Amino acid sequence: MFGLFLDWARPHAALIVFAAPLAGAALAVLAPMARLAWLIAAVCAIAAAVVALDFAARGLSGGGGDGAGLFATALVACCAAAALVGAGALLTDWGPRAGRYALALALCVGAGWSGALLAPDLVGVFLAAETAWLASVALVALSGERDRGALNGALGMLGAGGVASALFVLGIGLIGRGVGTLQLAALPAVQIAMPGLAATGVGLVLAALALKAGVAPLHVWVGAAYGRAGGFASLVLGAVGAVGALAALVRVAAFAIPAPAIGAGVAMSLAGLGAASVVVGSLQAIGASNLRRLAAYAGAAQAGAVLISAALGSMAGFAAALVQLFAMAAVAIVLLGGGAALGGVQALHLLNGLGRRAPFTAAAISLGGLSLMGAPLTIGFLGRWRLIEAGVGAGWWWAAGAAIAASLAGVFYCGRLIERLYVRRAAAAFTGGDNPWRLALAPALLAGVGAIGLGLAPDGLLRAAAAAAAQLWDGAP
Amino acid sequence: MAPDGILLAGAVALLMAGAVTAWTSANVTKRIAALALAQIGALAGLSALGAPSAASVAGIVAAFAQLTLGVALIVRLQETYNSVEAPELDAADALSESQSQNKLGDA
Amino acid sequence: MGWGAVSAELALWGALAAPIAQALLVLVLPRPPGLRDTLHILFACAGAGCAFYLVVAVAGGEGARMVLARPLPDVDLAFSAEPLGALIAALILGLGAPHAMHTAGMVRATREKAPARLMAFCALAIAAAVAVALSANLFSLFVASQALIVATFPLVAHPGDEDSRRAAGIFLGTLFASSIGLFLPAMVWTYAISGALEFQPGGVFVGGIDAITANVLLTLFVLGLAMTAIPPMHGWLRASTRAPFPGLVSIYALAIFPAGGVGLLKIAAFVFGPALNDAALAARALMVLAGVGMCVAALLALSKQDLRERLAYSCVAQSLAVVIGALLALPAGLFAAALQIVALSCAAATLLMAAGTVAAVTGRVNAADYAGLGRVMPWTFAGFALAAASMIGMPPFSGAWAKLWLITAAAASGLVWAAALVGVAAVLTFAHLGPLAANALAAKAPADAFKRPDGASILLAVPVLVSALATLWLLVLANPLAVFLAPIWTPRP
Repeated sequence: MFGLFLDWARPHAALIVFAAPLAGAALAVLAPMARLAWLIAAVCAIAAAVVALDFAARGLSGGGGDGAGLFATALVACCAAAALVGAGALLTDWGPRAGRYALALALCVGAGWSGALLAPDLVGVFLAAETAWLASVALVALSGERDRGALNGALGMLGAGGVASALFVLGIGLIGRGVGTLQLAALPAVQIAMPGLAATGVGLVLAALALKAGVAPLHVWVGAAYGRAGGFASLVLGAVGAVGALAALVRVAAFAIPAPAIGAGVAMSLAGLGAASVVVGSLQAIGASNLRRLAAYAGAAQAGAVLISAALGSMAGFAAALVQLFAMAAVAIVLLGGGAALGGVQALHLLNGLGRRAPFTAAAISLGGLSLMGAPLTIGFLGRWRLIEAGVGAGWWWAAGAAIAASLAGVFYCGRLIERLYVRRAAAAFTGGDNPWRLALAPALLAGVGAIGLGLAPDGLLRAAAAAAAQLWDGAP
Repeated sequence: MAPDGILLAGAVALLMAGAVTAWTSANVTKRIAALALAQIGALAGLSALGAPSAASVAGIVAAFAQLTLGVALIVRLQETYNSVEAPELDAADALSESQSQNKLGDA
Repeated sequence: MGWGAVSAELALWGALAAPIAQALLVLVLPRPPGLRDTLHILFACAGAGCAFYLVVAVAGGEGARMVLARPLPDVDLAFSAEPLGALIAALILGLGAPHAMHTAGMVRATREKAPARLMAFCALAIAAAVAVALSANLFSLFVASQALIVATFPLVAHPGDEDSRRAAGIFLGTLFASSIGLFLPAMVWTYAISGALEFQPGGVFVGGIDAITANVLLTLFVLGLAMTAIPPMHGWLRASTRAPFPGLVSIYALAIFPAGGVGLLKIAAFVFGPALNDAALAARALMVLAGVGMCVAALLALSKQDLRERLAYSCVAQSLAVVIGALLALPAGLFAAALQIVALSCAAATLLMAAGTVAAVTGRVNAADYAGLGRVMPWTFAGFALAAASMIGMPPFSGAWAKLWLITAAAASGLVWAAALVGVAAVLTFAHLGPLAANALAAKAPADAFKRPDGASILLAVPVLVSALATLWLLVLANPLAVFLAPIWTPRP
C-alpha cells in the first residue's frame, strides 16, 4: 500500500509536498475535535515528509536537479512532521478552537518553506516564504491566549518580517532589471547586464531571508518571540521556520555565488554576515537565562556557520552547509521539543537537577547540547569538521577559527546547561505534569536524538549532501 | 535623471522611511501603518524597475495579508494590554516575566 | 586468522570493556558494600589480566584492531594493539587493580557519601585513558581524550560544594578549550594535508611538509594536549586538587598524565615521525617551555604544604619531562619518554595512595604534620619513601632509568641545556619530597596519630606496597622494553 502511495505520488511529488500540508490545514480547521485535527495534521505532515524524502532520494541520485532544494525540502518536511506529531502532547496548552488553528498554522509554516525551497523563480520563493512567515506570526500570536507576552513577540515578528518582505520585493525588482530573469536556475549562467543592480537585489533578498531565519544581528524579533511563545510555537519557529528560511537563503545563495559577475560580492557579504552571527549568537547564548532563548541564540550561531560554509562558494562548502543545516534542525528539535515537554519550566535556574526528575527529557536536551559543542560522534561535530576542512582547503583560515569559536562558546553555555541538569540539586519541585499525551513528544525527541547520533554513521547523509552540492555545481558555468 | 530613476529613488525613500518608522515608533498603530507605507514603497520600486505583473500581484497580496494580520494584532493588544504603546507593552511583559519566574521559584 | 590473533583481539576488547563494565556494575549494584567492592576489584584485575595478555601477544608479533564506527570517510573510530599503546594500557590497568583495592578501603575508612559514584568515575577515567593509549588514529585519540575529560571532571566536582563545582568548571573549561581550540584544528589540518589520520611508524606526512606548517602543527598539537600540563595550558591542575584522594590517583597517576604522555608520544612518533625535524624551531621553544615549567613546578611544590597540591605540582614536573623526551626527535628520546610515563604513574600512584591512607587514618594532609608518622605507619611510609626516591630519580628505582635515558638523549642531540634542566628539576624534586619522606620516617612518632582506632586496614596498606614495588621493575625490564618498543621508531619497509 505504501508502494502504491509512492507510485501515485511520484509524478506530482513537488505539488504534494506543498499542497498536502495546506489541505491538511484546511481539514484541521474544519475538524470537530482538537484530537481529530491533530491526527489529520500529523498524517498530512508525515505523508508530505515521506513524499519529500522519496523525491529527494530519486532527485539526488538521478542528477541534474536543484540539489539544495531537494535536500532541504526533505529536511524541512521531516522537521514539520516531527513537530506536528509532537503537537499531540501540547494541545492542552490551548483551548479546543485555538488548538485546531495552531495545527493548521503549523502546517502552513511547513508548506510555505517547502514551497520556497521548490519554487523555480523568485516570485514563487517570495510568496511561499511570506505564507510561512505570516503563519509563524499568527502561531506565535495564538500563544497569547496563555501568555499575553506572545502577542508582543508576534508584533515584533510582524514588524521585522514586514520590512524584510518589502526589501525582498524591491530585491526582486532589482534582480529582474539587472539580470533580465527571475528564474533561479538561470542565475549562474546568464549574462548579467547590470551587475550592480543584480548584486544589490540579491543582497536584499538574502538579507530578507536572513532576518526571517533569525541570523544575527538581524534577529531583533527572536528574543521576545521565542521567550514568550508557547512550547509548540517555539518548536515550529525553531525546527521548521528558522531551518526553512536558512535553507531558502542557502538555496538562493547557491545559485547566485557561481554567477561570475556578482558571485564574489555575494560570497563576501554572506561570509561577513555569517561571522557576525556566529559571534553575536554565541555571546547572546552565553547570556541567555531561558532555555528557548538559549536555543534560539545558539541557532543564530549555527546559522552563521551555515552561511560561512555557503560563502566558501565551493562544492565542499555547500556540502558542509547542508550537513550543518541538518545538525541545526536536529538540535532545534531536541532542545525546543525538550523545552516543550517541560511545560512552563523554562528559566535555566529551574532546570537544576532535571536529570533525576525527568531523565529522558534531560538526556535529549543534553545530547542537543553536546551536538552544539561539537562533541565527537555527534552530527554537530561532523558539520564543524566539514566546515573546517572546507575552510582550510579554500585558505579561509578565519572560517575554521569561527567554527572553533562557535564550538568553544557551545562548550561554555551547553556545559553550564548540562551541569545544571545533572550536577546541581533541584531548588523547586518539577511541575511537568502527568498528562499521558506528553508521550506524543517522544517520537520527535527520538527522531532528534537519532539525527544527532547519525554522527556515528553519517555515510548516507554525507553522500546526500555531496550529491546535492555536486548538482548545484553542475549548473555553474 | 530619468523618470523611472526618480520614481525608484522615491520608492526607496518611502521604503526606508516606512521601515525606520516601523521599527522606532512607540505606537503600534503607527508601526503597522509605516509597514504598509514600506510595502507601498517596495511596490512602487517594482513598478519603476519594470518588474513583471506577477511580482507586483505577489507584493500586493503579501502587503494586504500583513496589514490584515497587523490590524488583528492591534485589536488583540488593545484588548489584552489596554494599550497600544510599545513601551507600556514591554514594561508589562518584563513585569509579568519576572513575576512568573519568582512564582515558579517559590513553588 | 589464527587463534592467537583472535585472542589478541579479545584481549583488546577486554582491556577496553573491563573498566566500563566495572563502572556500570558498581553503579547498578551499589549495595551491599561488600559486593560492590568485590566487583570493583575483580573487574580491575580482569582488565589488568587482559592488558598483560595483550602485551604478551604484541611481543609475540600478533596484532589486533577493532573498529567501532566510521564517522568520516577514511576515518575510523578504531583501537589497535601496538607496543607503545599496549605498554601504557598494561601500566594503567595494572596499577588500576591496587588502586581499586585502595579505593574500596578509602570509601570505608572515610565513610564516603557517594562511594559508588566515586568508584564508577575512577573506573571510567581509567577506561578513557586506556582508550587513548590504544587509539589507532588521531580521531580516536581525540574522541578518547574528550571522553577522558568528561569522565574525570565529576571526580573534581565530587565533594559537591560550591568550590568544587567551580573548580570542576575550570577543569573542564581549560581542557576542553585546548582540545577543541587547538587539537581539533590541528587534526583537521593534518587530515587536509595528508588525507589520513591513521597512526603509522614513520609518520603520516609522506614526503615531508614545509617548515612553517610543521612548526604550527606541532605547537597546536602539543598545546592542545593540555593533559601534559604544559604551560600555559596547565590551569586545570590547581582546580583538580579538589578531588578526593582516590580521584587524585585516577587523575594524576592513571588517567590524565599517562594519557597526555602517550598521546604526545603517538603524535611525535606516528604522525610526525621524521617530519619532527622540520618543526625544530617549535620543538625547541616547547622544550624550553617544558623545561622551565618543570623547574617552576618543582619549586612551587616546595612551597605547598597541602600534600595534594605538593604532589600535583610534583607530578607536573615529571609529566613535562615526558614532553621533553617526546620532542627530542630521537628514538632514545621517545624511549626515555615512555619510561618516564611508566615511572611517573608508578610513583604518583604510590605517593597519592599513601597520602590518601594517611589522610583517612590520621586526618593529616599537611606536610608539616607528617613528622614521625612513618614510625606508626611503617608499611605505608615505606611505600611513600620508595616512590619518593623514584620521583627524585634515585637508582635503582624507575625514575632513575627514565631520567638517565632522558639526559643521555638530550645530550646526544646537542641540547645540553635540556639535560641540565632535567637535572635541576630532579634536585628540586628531592627538595620537596626527600626531607618529607625522611622526616616522616626518622622523626619522633606523634602521640595521638590515628583518628581511627584500628589504623590502616589491609585494603589501604597493601596497594601502596604493591605499587611501590612496581617502581623497581624497570630495573630488570629496561632492556626488554627497549626491544619491545623498537617498532615504534622503526618504520616498516
